[in-house]
Amino acid sequence: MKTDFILNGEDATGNGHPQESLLDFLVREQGLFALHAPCQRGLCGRCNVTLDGRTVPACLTPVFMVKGREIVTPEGFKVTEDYKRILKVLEEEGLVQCNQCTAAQIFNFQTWLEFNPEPTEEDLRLHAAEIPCRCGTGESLVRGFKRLSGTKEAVRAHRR
Amino acid sequence: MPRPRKSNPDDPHFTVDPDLFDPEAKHLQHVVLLRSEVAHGELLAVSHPLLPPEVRLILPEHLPGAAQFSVYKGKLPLLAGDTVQYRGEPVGLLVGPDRQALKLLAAQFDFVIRKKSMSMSGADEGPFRTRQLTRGEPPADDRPDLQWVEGSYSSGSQDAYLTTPLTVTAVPKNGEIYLHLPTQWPSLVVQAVARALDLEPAKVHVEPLMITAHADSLVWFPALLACHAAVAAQAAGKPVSLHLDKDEEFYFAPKRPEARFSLRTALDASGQIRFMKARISVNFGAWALFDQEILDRILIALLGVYKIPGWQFTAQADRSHTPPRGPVGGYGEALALAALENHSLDLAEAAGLTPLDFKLLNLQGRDNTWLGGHATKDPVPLVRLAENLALLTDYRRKQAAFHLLHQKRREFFEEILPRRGIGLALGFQGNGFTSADLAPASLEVRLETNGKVYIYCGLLSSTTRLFSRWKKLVSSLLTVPERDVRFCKVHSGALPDAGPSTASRSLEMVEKVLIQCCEAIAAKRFRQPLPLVIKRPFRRVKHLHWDDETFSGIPFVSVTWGSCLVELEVNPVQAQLAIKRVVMLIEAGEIQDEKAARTAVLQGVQLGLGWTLLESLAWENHRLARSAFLKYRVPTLRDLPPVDIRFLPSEKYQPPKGLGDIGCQLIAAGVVAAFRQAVHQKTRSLPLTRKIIDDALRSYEN
Repeated sequence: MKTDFILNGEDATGNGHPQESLLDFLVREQGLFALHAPCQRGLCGRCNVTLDGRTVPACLTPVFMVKGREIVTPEGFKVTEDYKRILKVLEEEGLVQCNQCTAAQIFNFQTWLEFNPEPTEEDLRLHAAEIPCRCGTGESLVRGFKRLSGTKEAVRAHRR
Repeated sequence: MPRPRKSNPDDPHFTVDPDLFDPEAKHLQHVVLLRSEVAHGELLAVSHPLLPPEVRLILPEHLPGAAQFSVYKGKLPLLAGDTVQYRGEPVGLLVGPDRQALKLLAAQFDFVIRKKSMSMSGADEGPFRTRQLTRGEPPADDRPDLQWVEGSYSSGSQDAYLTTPLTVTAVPKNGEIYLHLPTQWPSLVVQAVARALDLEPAKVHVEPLMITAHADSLVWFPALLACHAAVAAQAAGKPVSLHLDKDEEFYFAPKRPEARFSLRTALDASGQIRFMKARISVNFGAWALFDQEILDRILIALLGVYKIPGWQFTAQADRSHTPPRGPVGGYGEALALAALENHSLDLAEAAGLTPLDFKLLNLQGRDNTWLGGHATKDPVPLVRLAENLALLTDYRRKQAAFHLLHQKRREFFEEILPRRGIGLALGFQGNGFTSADLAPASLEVRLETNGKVYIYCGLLSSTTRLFSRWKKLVSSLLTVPERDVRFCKVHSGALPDAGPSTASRSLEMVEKVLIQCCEAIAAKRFRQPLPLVIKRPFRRVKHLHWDDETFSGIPFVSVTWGSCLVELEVNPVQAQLAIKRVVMLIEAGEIQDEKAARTAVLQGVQLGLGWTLLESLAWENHRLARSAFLKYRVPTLRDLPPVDIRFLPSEKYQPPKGLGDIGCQLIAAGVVAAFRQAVHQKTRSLPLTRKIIDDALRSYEN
C-alpha cells in the first residue's frame, strides 16, 4: 500500500503493508536506522515518534494509521535549534550520555512537556524512568527539564 | 528529510565520505548470522533449501583470511568449524538484499551436529587458565592462637543491556574496507578485520560510533561482528549491514561472568588477619577473552583492601558451553569486593568486633604500603574514608541501634515491622589495565602549516565531554583556537593505537600522552618549520612497575578509592527490599566537573544495583530461558534510592582519576552488608532475589 505522510516537516511516501509496524516501515522505506527499538514491545520508549503531536511507540503503530498525518522522529528533532538548546542546559546539569538514546530521551521529555507544561519533580522523575537506560543520567534529565520547564513557562507568560 | 551527515570538507585528514554509510544506499546487502541449535557437538553437514541467486552462503571454509578472532591471549573462531561450543555460536553467514527474507531462510537451515556429552560446568574439559598465588606458609589448622573462618560466596551474571544498537556497516571500496559501528576499541576492529580479510591494516578504516557508558562488554564483541560484516561485504562486493536484534544480542552477547569464592581466613586473638586461603572459579562460557585480566583484578581486589600477611590463592577461568562472558561495569573487582566484604562480616563476627572496628583494625594504608607491603607514592586513604563516612552518616550509632532493635524484636516478636540494616563497604577501582602489553596507548599530534592541530588517537569516549576537555587542553598548551583542534574521525591501521576507551584509560593514560605530545610540539614550535609531528606511546613511570607473575609492584596507573554506606529495610510481609539511603565517599584526585563526576558514579551505582537486586540470569541446560529476555528488567530512576555522592579531598594534590566503575564496585558489597544486618542471616549469593530474601526471612523467624 502506498502511504503518503509528512516526515520531519517534509513530504514523504512509502510502500508498506497496512498492518506492518511503523518502525519497520520507517527503517525500510526511510532509512531511519537509529530507530532500532530494543524491545519491539512498546516498553523501552526508544522508538517513540510523534503522530500529529502525540507520542506513540513506532513498533506498535500500524502503517495504516499514518496516512496523511505528520510524523516527527528523534532524528528530525535532533537537527532543530530546540534540541541544541535543551542539550546545552542538560549538559550544564551534568548529563553524560552516550548519544545512543540522548535524542530519544530528550525528544520524549520535550513532547511530554507539551502536554504537561508544569510538571512537578515527581512527575519528571516518573517520566525519566520510562526509558530504561544504562547511562544513569535520570537525575540530570530531571534537573535539566525542571529548569527548562520554568524557562518555557516564562517565555509563554511573556508572549501572553 | 534531515539526516545528520559527517563530513569535514576543509580537512583532508578527517574527511568521511558522507554517502559511504548511507543506509539508503543502493545495493545495500544484509547479513544474518546462522547459529548453532546445539550447545556442544561435532558439525557434520549443512542442509538448506535452494538459495535464491541473490543470496550468498558463507561457511568457515569460505573465510578469506584467518579463521580465528583473537584479543591478547584469548581467541575464538569467527565461525564454528568442526566443533560447536555453545548454543547460538555463529556457524555461517547468509548475505542478501532483504533482511526479513534472510531471517526466514535462516530458519530453514539444518545443521547436522553430533551432540557431545557435557557437564554443566564443562569441568571435564578443564579450565582455560589457572592462577596460583602464594606468599608464606599457611599456619597449621590446629594452632591454638588462631581461629579459621570460612565461607563460600557466589554472584550471578548480568547482561550489559546496551542502549547502543549493535549494527555494523561494512563498505568495500577500491580494495579497502570501511566500517561503521559502535566500538570501544577501533584499532582492535582494524586488526581483527585485517586478519579476517588478509588485508593490510592500513586498508581497513573504522568510523566508530558513540557507545553506552559502562559498556565494557563492547571491548571486543563489536570487532567480532565487524569481521562477519567485512567478510560478507568482501564476498558480496557491496555494502553490507549486520544488525543484531535486541533479543539476539541479549542471548548471545557477552555478559558478566558468574563467580564462586571459597574464602578461609586465619584470625589471631586480637582479630587481625594472619593468613587467607581462597579458591575462586569464574565461569567464562565457551571461550575466554580477557580472562587473565579479570582473574588478576579479582586477586588484586582480594589483596587490596585488608592487610593480609600471607596468602594462598587459586583462581581459575572455568569453561562452560554457554556464550562467552566478558567485562561488564569493570573487570572483576566488583565480584571480588562483594565476596570479600561479605567475608569480612563473618570475620568481624568471629572476632567479636563490630564490622567497622574490624575494618579499622585490618585496613591497608596505615603505613603507606599496598598489596603486601609495596610502598605507594600516594597514601592509601581507606582508613580515612572509613572514619569519615562513619562520622558523616552516624554509622556507629545506627549500626548499634539496629542491632538493639533486632534483639527487641526477638523479644516481642514484632513480625510485620520492617527489618532495618546498615552496611559499610570499602574498595577501589584500578585505572588502566594491569598488563602493559594488553593494549598500547599511543597518540600522534600534528601542527600543520595552516595552524590547525590534528590529533590521531583512534579512540572514542562514551561522552563528548572528554573531547571538549581535550580541545581546551590542547588549545591552552599550544595557544591555538579551540575550533582549530581536530580529532580524527576515522581510524585505520596506519594511525597510532590509543587502545580501548575502558578502565578509565582515556583519562589516565591517553590524556597524559596528549599533554606530552603538545609539550613536545610547543618546545619545537618557532624553532623548526611546520608541520610538526609528534607520536608517542604511553610509558609507565618506574614506581608503577608490576610483575603479574609474583604480584609485586603497583598494577594500575592510578587507583580511585571509595567507601559506600547503604541503609535498607526489608519488608517481611512482602519479602521486599527497599534501599533507603546510599552515601558514597570517594577519593578520586582533583574533581574538575562535580556534576559530571557525580553522574559517572551514579551510572555505576545504577549498574551495580541492577546486578545486586534485579538482574538475574540463569542458564538451564546451557541456555537462557526463552522468557528471560522479556522478564529482564534493568533499574531505572524509579528504582534508584537517594544517592549522596561526596568526594574526599586527597591529602596532597592528585590529578583527576577515573570514576566510571567505583559505584558499581562498592554498591553490591554495601547492600549485602546492610541486608545481612537486617535479616541477621549469612547471605552467600547475589543477586538478592525474592527467593533469597524470603528464605532469609524464614530462617530469621525460626
